[in-house]
Amino acid sequence: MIFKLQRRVISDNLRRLNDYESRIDQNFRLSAKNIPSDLALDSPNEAERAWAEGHLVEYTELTGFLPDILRQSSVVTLVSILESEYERISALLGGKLGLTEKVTDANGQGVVRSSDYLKRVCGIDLPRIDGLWQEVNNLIQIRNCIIHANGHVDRVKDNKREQERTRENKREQERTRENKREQERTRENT
Amino acid sequence: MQVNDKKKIVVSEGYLSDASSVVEEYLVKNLELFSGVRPFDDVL
Repeated sequence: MIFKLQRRVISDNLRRLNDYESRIDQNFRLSAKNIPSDLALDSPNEAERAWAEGHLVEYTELTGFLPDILRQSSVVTLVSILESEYERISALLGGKLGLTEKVTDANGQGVVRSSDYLKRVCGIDLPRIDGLWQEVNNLIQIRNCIIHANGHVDRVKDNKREQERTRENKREQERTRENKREQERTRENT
Repeated sequence: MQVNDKKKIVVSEGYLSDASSVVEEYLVKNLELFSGVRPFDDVL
């Protein structure tokens, strides 16, 4: 029963998202179609030229910038649905087992957190479904790139390098502090 | 899905539909796996 219900919820949420994107995308297309194709960009009349240039900007946005943002937002929402539904399933199973530890207490974030909870707390180590997991993981990486670097793949790599440098610096600082503490303890004992 | 000459991700038309199918299949397959794991088989 719950299986069927949960399956229905997943399908409904995904269908709504796809319908929403289609409708907005269609509106962009219709609005762009209403812009005249013979814009008087070279008109000697300044007002006419300004009007034409305004419409050209609008056309460019309706056919490029806005659909791009819409599709990127849809990917972000899609991964959000994936994570929340996976978490809901994990919470349901944890509740059935009467566990006090919640899925939100597990390590990591998103799908990784739910998987960690299922494995470590519920004792269920699900096989990562061949091929599908790779595709899902790619989708998550794309979402992360959109969120953290506005879709710029090279910036994500730079961010990762920067994060690793920061972590290494913190480790180095901690080692230095520990060495100082050790030296102080040695001095006090002598 | 494409990466343009500015190394920026461009989500192509129709990508959402394909990606949604993958997500749905993944979640449903996981649900099916759960349904075969005791003691969850009676819940799901």
